[in-house]
Amino acid sequence: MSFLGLLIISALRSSIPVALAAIGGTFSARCGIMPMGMEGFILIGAFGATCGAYYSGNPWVGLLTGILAALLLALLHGLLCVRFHMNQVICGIGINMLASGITASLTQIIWSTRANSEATVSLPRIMLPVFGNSSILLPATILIGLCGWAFMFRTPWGLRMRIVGEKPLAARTLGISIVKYRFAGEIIVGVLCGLAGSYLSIDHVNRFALGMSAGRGYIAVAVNILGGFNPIGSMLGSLVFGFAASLKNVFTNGSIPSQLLDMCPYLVTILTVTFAVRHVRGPAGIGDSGEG
Amino acid sequence: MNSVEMRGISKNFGTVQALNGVDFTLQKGEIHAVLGENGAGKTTLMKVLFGMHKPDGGTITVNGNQVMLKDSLSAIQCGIGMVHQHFMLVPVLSVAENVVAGCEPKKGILFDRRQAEEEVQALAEESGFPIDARAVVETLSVGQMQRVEILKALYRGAEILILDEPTAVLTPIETAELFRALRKLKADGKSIVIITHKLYEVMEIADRCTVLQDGRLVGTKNKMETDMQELAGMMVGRAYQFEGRRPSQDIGAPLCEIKGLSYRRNEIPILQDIALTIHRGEILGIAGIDGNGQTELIEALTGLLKPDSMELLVNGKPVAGNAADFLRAGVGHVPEDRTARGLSLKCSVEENSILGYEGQKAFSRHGIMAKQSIRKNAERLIRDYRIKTPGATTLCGALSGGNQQKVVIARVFSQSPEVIICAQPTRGVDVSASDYIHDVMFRYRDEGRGILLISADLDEIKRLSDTIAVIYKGKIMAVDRAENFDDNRLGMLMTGSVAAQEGKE
Repeated sequence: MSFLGLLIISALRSSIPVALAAIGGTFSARCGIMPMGMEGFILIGAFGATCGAYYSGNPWVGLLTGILAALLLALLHGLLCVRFHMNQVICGIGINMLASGITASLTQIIWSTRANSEATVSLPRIMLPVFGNSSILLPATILIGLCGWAFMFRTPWGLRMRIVGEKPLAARTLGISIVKYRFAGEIIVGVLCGLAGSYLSIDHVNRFALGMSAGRGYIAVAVNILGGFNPIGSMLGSLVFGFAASLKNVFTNGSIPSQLLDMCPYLVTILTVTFAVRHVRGPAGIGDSGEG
Repeated sequence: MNSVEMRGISKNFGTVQALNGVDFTLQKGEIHAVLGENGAGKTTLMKVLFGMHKPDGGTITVNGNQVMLKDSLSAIQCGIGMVHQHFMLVPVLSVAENVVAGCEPKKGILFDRRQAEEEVQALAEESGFPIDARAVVETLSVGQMQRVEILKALYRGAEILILDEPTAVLTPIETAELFRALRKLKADGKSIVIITHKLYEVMEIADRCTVLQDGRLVGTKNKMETDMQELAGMMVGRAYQFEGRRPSQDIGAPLCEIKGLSYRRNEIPILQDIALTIHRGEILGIAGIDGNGQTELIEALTGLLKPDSMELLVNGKPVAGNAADFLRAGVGHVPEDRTARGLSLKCSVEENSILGYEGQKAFSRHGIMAKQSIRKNAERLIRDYRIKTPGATTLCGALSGGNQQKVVIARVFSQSPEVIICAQPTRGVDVSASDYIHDVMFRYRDEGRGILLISADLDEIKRLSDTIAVIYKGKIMAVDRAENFDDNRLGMLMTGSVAAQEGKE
């Protein structure tokens, strides 16, 4: 395969988890919840998926447990921020620390080592035209992005969700439930981050590694903004990061120090946040409880 | 038949009784004004009717059926619509999207945008609110946004329309347009409530008028059977009394001169060429119905607001700059709202007793607070001003309203500024504390200093003032010795109904 082809395929592959999380993040942000907990959702999703697959021997069970684990954490975030009106960013960071601590402890308890789980089964792969042998989550991601966009901008529920996120008090005076739509947003971001985590642990590789989300949840926040809080925009935005992350898979001959290549996605995040997203206006109701 | 009957509505917020057994009836096809000063409970009453506040007591009947309004949705289902003072619009969405949100036309499971735009456009034209349904709301003028709000209510089939201070943000031309549209809606059989504190609007548009004061019903009048003067009396209320007057024995030289104070907001004149002089040994009271520019006058005179033009002289020296400069120049400030501007409720009495003066040598040296002398100062103030508090370190939030106000009074008066801008000095303060505060003000005046008193309580103005200036729509209508005003003249001036004659005198 040509160098360019290799680069594109690798970039697509690296984009999947960031894209899934970022699409989820658009739903969370659009209904007024800053999705700062995605890093934790992804990590616990990866861990949950590994456990499910390890104990059942069935990767599909793993996928389900991965989604459930992330969903539970997202609901906890919802409980704290929507029900009890706590600060969304601080709760998100707390959730991330909680996930990092829990997964480290449980890895130690289950596999007697903090670093990695034992190898487990992984999801089957499919043959696609153009893309060739690929993860089933690649077409799933594209489908989720397109459906997500249609839901958000073409259905009445999407319109209401955006109103809740822009001006909660206005939603309230229209009889639209702020709590219901915000929990719906948390559920969507939880499920999609669970998928992203599962991709990392039982698709991309076949084991859980400590801290394997590696900042993708934070990158997804940046992608979310770069994509204008739009599911399709988020999908395209994640390609930038996928590309940056895939460089190390392409330049394997040592011509460029691998540490520099590892740095790329994070460098791109900083540059994006600094220069590219200054004129993107986020939903105005983020952090506003609408009780006033 | 009555569209709405509210009986004995009560509502508490914590310890504050916002509504106390209020009755309200809205007849079908009338425009009904709910009149009262700020904080009288007008908006609270209407939010109860729109399901945004649950009443603690009382019953609501809509079109003959008793209803429980648990949220706005149930109010909407009863055919009630509300246009809020602060618009409930999403600026980034289009007019059509804002109007239909919550009951959108659908095509299958999808939102039918074209249908929505057509419906909204048709509704707009039919109700006499020409507007482009596809326009994004943030590009509209304030008057147009208000139309969108009204359309929102009409789209939901509202037969009863509540408007909260609809003209507060409008230019005179927009107001005229709004009133024309409201008359048309009335002709179509809608029942309309407008919340206002502007008497001339009541006389222009309303059929009947309900007056509230301090959360209580004062009365309901037919417009035909009343006049602005009577309504003004009902609003500011209570039988006027001149007891406790202590006119100044010795009014001296001019102390503080205000010249050419003008201020416009959104092209609407708020203060118009105000000129006032406060003399030594004089309390100058500003009488007027709330919302005629008093707040902006206070802010301009204390450096919190930059007016378009103003010349302020204290002892012949010009004063300018920010709020701290005004304090240093000898203009003391007792703010209108003690919890918002007068005090930090989470700080102690001793900390609050030096706010704004913390830079003085007595209270800090080289940027380090002088704990000892701050404590001594606070203890002296507590003694001198009879502040009831467990100690100097008690948090101000733990004190009663009257004692909180005494902390503000003590801080400002103990610093002996030349002139004090004293706004609502006894609002929400019990009788004994309020008498004591009046006493402090009299004594301060008798020391040969000046006070500008701004109060919504007309009794207070009449009791304390040596000179009264009447403000109406941001203009000073008359300045005269307090003895020369009677209730009749004050009422006429405060409602702007005798501008012409006064001018000739």
